[in-house]
Amino acid sequence: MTEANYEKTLAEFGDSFDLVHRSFHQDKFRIVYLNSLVDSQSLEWEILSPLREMSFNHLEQATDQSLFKRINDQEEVIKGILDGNVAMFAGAYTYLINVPGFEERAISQSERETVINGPHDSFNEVLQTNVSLIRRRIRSPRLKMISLSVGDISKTRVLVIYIEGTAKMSIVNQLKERIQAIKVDSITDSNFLIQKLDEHQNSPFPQFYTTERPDIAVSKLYAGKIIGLVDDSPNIICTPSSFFDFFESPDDLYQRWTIGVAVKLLRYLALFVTLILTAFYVSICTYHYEMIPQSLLQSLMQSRSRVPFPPFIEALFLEIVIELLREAGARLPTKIGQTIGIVGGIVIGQAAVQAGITSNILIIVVSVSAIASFIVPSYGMSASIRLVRFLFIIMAGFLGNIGIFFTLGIVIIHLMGLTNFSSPYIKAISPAFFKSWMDNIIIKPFYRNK
Amino acid sequence: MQSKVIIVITMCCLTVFVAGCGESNAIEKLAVVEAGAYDLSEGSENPITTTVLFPTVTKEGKFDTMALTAKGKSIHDTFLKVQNLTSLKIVGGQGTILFGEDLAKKGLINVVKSLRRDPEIGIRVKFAMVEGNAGKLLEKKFPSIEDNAEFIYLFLERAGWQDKVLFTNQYRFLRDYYDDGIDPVLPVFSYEGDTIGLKGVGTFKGDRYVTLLTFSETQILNYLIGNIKNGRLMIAMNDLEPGQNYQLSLSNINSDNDKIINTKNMQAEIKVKLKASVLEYTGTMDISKEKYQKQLEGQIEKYLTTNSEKLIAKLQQSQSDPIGIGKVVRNHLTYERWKSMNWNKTYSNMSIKVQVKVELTNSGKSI
Repeated sequence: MTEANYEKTLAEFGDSFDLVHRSFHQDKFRIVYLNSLVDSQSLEWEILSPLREMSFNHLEQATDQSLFKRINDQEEVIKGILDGNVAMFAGAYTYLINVPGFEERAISQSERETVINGPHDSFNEVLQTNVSLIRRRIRSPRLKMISLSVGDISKTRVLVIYIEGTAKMSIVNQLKERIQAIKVDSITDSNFLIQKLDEHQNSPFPQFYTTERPDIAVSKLYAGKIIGLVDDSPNIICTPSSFFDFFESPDDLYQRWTIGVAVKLLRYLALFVTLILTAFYVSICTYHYEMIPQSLLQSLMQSRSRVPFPPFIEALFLEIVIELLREAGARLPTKIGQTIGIVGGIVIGQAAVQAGITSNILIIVVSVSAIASFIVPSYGMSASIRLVRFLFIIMAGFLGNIGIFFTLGIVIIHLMGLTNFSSPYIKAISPAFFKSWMDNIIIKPFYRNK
Repeated sequence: MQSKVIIVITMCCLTVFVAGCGESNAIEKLAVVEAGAYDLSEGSENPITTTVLFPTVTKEGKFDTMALTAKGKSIHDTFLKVQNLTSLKIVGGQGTILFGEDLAKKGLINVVKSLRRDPEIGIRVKFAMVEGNAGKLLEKKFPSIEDNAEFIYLFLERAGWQDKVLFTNQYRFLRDYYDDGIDPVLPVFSYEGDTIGLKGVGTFKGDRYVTLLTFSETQILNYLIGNIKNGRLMIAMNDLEPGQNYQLSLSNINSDNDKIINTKNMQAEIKVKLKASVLEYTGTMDISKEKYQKQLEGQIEKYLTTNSEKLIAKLQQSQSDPIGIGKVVRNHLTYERWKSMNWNKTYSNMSIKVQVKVELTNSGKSI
């Protein structure tokens, strides 16, 4: 530990553009801060004007507030300044005065997770604001937070939040240990953190539920789960999470439960449609003509008759085009994005059929499965399902329906092997707890909630 | 870790190589046979003529059907020859199988047996007969019908719901053929004129076609065979009594059928109870009055009894038993006695009576 001192501090920062150092009363008080991290109004109010009016004469009394923190360590001082504190060197003592203030995004509607009913606020990139959104909803001293820091250079703050008495302490401790064990230079987002925490890092499936909606975060806390907040990230992480969490939307709970159940079942249907529909088209057109009803056979033959490629190539081609369109649409600025709609809709939709490159039934099949993939509320899960779908299409192209069911088996076995903080990924199905199926997989009636 | 990688690579290789063992059936390269027709051809060298009908797509991308015909020594011999007529791969999936009149007269069982062995032809494939040449029916283009095979398939499906006796498939044909004491029936189509029409029902003796029953006889046969739910009956009263000349249509019929056998002197009685509502009545009686309703019931009973007995006499004469009286007789006898009996002879000389009881549950509106 090195003694904190004014000259060393200045030397450490070098000639930073935003570094400010001032002295008062013949160098009796010297302050150092970064003006990009400090709120200038509170700085003036709390420090500069008292210093000018010499009200710090009784130093001990004046600094006996939570705003002031007496520090001796040089490293701590540097860290404090970087966190938006003002370092005040007064004789032998060094104080850190917490007056942070920086530009932040206003709390706005979530763009990824929208609801029709229910609250519309969402987290932003500032930890303080995010904590306040949670605190505001849980007015209880049982809400506990553990502050950690990750990243050798970035020193990003990570908060682990749980409700004492509801959450399992063993998982809290485990999460804390695992976050502390992470050795990286920097993390920029919570999605980066969860990949470091994953138990099965090569799986395509996301294992931590992330959300930017405070109402979901709070409902997870009430359910005994633990959430993690990362500074500079609007996404909070949630553990232990299961496969079925990714198919939840808060709208399910804000509607009548019968409607919520129907919508939820629709989402599971969408999951299967996304995974299997295109693959099924490939397999019946290539191998299983017996499965096609006579009346459908006619239109299927009619649309296939001009296509020179086998169904497998045709389907793979169109699926890749859809993925290209989606990726282009996600990255392009909105003004140019409209072009994608026209090019994709008209050129791919009509011209490809007229040119005889694809059949129009396949266009319907591929668009239906693309629409179904967007029904899954979690973007991460929807992306991994779309990737796994290609495995289904390839296997259907090689082995037909046997290939589809073979792949389905492999995927189910893989899902069964996944865990999230020692909690099985598809809990309630495997291991089977039939009584909690209604609760975990679908939704239970509201009146049965305690 | 290394072993895992090896397993994954092996699996991928297997997937690709195993795929080579399966036969690919891309639908645009297939001719999925919608209907097959089997006829007897002239000449003893190639006795069987097979016609298959399958959907195709023309160059303009329009839907069309194509019929191919080949002569051969057996069913599968003709399949091979038909295959040589087209670039498409001919695969099964027949919905309907038609038999020509001549072939049916000669006996169908050899044809049906080889169709039965073919795994591409399901047990629910519909069977029907054609008056004249069955292949011609598939080949002929009718202005009002786009796809002959589909037409017959849908026709039979609809007719099978309305009249149980017309519900004929491979399973029923073989069951009735192999069962002692009942003979199969098949609907008979004709293709004269501008459309395909149902002519009636052909009854069989064993596997040989013997008589054609007219449409009104078919309706009556329907009620003699078994219990009917929600059936229909069309009666033209003029052919019974000269003074009566009206049309009667009964709908919503629920019938109860009971066959009573006297094994001592070999007499049979079929008791039919009908409950029906009147859909159409062109006569002069005010049938909303109970008296006239009873009178009408009596007339219907008389009509049904006489016509049934006429029909049974016709069947007895041709020794065909689609009603299944033999089955009931067999169930009343010991195995030895049934085996020692010459059933065909007994049947044609047997006295079979019909007793009909009609109850009109509702006479509808009368103005």
